[in-house]
Amino acid sequence: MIDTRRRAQPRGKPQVIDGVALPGPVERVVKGIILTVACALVILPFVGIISTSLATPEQVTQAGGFVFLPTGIDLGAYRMIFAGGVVTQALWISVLVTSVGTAISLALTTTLGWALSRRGAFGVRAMLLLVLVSLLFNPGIIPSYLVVQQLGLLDSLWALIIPTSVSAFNVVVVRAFFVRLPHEIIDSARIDGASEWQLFTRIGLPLSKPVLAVVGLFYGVGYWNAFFNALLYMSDASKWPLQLVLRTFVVDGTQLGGQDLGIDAGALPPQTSLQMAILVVSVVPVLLVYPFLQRHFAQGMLTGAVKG
Amino acid sequence: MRDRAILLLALPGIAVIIVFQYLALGGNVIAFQDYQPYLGMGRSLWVGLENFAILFSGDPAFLGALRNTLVITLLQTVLVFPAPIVLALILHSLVSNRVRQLVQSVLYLPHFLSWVIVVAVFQQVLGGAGLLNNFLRARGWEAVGIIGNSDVFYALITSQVMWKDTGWATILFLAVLAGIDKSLYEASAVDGASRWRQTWHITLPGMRPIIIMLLILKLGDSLSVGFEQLILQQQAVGLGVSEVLDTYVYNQGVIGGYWGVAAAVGLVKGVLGLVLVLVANRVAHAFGEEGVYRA
Amino acid sequence: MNMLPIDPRITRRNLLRGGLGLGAFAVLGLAGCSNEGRGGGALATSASVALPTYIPFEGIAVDLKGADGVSDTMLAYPANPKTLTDGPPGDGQDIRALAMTNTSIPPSADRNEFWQALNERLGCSYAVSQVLAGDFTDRFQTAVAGDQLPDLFTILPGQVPGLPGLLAERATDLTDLLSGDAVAKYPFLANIPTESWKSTVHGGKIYGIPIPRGPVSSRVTYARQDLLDAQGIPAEVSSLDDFHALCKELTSSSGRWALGQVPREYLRQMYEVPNGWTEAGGKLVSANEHEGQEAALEEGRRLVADGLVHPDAFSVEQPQRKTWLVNGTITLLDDTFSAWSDFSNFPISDEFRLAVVPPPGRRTSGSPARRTTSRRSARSPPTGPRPCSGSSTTSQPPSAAPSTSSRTTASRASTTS
Repeated sequence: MIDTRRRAQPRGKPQVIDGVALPGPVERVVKGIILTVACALVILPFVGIISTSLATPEQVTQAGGFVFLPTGIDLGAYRMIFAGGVVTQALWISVLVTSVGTAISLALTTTLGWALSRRGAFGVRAMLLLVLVSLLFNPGIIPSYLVVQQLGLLDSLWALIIPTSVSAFNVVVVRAFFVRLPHEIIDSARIDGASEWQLFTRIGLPLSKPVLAVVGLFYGVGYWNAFFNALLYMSDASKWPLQLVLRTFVVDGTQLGGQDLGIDAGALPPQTSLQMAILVVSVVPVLLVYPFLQRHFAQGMLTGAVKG
Repeated sequence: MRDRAILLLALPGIAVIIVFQYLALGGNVIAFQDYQPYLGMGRSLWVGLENFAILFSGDPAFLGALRNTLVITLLQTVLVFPAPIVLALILHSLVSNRVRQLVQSVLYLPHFLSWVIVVAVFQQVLGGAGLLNNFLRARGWEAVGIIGNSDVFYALITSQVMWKDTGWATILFLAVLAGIDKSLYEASAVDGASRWRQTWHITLPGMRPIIIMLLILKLGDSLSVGFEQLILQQQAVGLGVSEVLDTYVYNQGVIGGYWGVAAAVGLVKGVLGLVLVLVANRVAHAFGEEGVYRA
Repeated sequence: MNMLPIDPRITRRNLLRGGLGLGAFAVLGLAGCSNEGRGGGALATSASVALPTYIPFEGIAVDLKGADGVSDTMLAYPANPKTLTDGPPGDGQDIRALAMTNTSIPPSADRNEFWQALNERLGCSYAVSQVLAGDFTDRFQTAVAGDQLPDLFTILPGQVPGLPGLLAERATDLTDLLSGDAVAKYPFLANIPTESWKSTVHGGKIYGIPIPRGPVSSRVTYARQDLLDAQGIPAEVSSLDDFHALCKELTSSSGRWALGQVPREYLRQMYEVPNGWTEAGGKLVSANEHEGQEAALEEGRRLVADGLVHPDAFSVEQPQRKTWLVNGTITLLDDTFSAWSDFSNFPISDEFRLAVVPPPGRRTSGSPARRTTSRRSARSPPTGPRPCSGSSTTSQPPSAAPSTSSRTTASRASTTS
């Protein structure tokens, strides 16, 4: 988006930018309040959670749970959950599923999106229709379960990856992007004798980095955040991803015992500290990739919204 | 030759869609069976339309789930849907780009958090011994029961959805706002139109197509409300207020063993959702709008 | 140590002779209403099969002899345990099992010395997939649907849809091995009272081994003895009003509550509401119809209304309430006898002591005034704390008598303790 509004304005009244008058003082104050409150509502809970996870056990116990301003920093809770018990294990599972899943998803989505962007090729219209129609319905829990079961994927980490590896929406997004690539480049490369695979890898992929970044983020976040598929498909608790551990020990409040963490129960910090630390650990990866991909959001979303 | 290469590229992706979307639909045949998982589809008895009787028999569990679904959808359409429009208007009218980007960065974030995290955060903040109530009690004030209180459950889940997705939903609206022809504003300014008149006569009409498109999509989704969000919180408030069609299918089918009945409800729900989208799209066309697609 | 000439092995060959594939089930609790579901399967009648004969095991001397459905008891772990089997019972083949647990899931065998030692003694690899109680139904049902039931699996009576059909299809018929006197070949199993076996019979066949735990599943009120001692409050309750006053005393505005949930069974016991069902004039009468039921519920409501119950009581699972007890957020815990051992997995301090507060009759003497004013000084704390002492448990009210309680408490245990 090209910003046209920051043109130099001559000082004086009334200030008008692109035909719109500048807001008056009342409107500014109201908007300021609304936005400040909205941002506070998002930020404050996290401040509380992070503070509590870092606060000393004594302070947490004394506060009866939540600490806003820690008097001292204590990393005990983090040391415990990284001691090699159930949380560490789940973290690795989540990292594995998310990285492998995102790679597979990107591969399948871009190849399919590229193929569907090649109008006129045999079968492309039919396949595009298949993809678009699938956007209109969702097979439901039970039929999906039956398919996973029939394929023998139950209790396999693949069950957390393959069923959700291709999102029709993302395929449409990627395709729309490919369709809008300049024809001349592709045509001249074809005349130079480039194969379809070369067109895809040398022209399609390099030019579509921004959209791949956004689609990759969507997939990655999807894999990282999924918990219900694991509840359904994974009866082996040693293969639980982090979100399911989070549900069990934070949302349901199951006591995270010494056994779970592979440490002596007597050394446990307060349950709240542990819960908050798990919560922080599950949010941090999202926070890490978020700033790098953020600037591509609008572009990615818009490509998808305008269906071609 | 080239066509074959293109087909090969498409193959893995399209195979996943065919298997997990279209073949999965085949699983709906158990809606016509007294399906017993230990017998499998092959050996379970066929019962015709018997499972669909639940839709008309006045079964209280089913009717409750239907009612809750519709109430929650209505609440979300009336309260949640307009929020990002308002927020987008505010963000769009900000003069400082830096402030706007900062606010956007903060408000988009919750969209990327899982429901497990969102529910956990709400519990920690609003729970009986959470942040808010600890604060109230420390000042000697009355604590408020929010989590686990079925009276305010709808308010709770509605605010969760708003918290999570309002910011993110502004993206589309902001893009549309940025695309509105600037000359319209300039022309109206010459005519002496105020900011409010411009909003009413130029901005909102400019957003109408996207609003209608999203409303249609919402309508198609009206029978599906936050499965993960609700399944995480059902235990706290009971099924009376929290059972919706999707959770009903899970609770009756997978947990309760009434696979056939649950599949029947899920099937009808899916078909109704499809019909709703098609009908709403037709209505949009009738009013001269673009809608979601044009056949 | 003399070895007893016992061969308790049930070999795979034995089992396979019995029926389709491998599988047996352990039924939790004495009995429960079986759900016939729609899966077919004839109605279970215990009359159609001879239940295993009860042959009390005489191989070891017990400290307390049980009666009326209460099992024999040892007062301490034997200093010199007897070896009762002639070599390890396993035949070297792996056994997989699915079971529920109320505590957290222990580390897998490769990281678990206890488990490794157990496997060595069993003479086979015994892999138990343990599932938290709250997730068990999900897990069990998906295991059934995915055809992933292991060799042994636990069943919660009344919570498995289409149980008879499922058993006929997936479990092994043990009737020939266990019916009547045949059980004598397996002396440990013969030690299970005949009554308990009823719940394992479906469609006239024995499909599993019962786990009789009725009295252990009775609900009691635990108190943090150490916290009460520190405040000079005795862990005794003399009447309903006294109980209410005690709860008031244990609740403070600084985030301390007396109770983690409404102690429904405890209140019912005070009103002498029977457990589950009683027989009156040849008809079964539900405890919910008992005259004391309404008053007991009203008393529970009052506890909540007066703010004596943790505000999150209704939205958490039992493990969370145990956490509250451990960190002192609550002082009284409503749970079963079997919950007692769970606390070993909690970060408890050396001072941590549990007492059991027996329920009084609702009118037995005492007034609230006495508790709030004079009680603190009037009585001295009980003598030296013992580890998790259940010092005052002997005076069980008639209503908690296990023989009548077993049916309901057993099924209830599945969701609570």
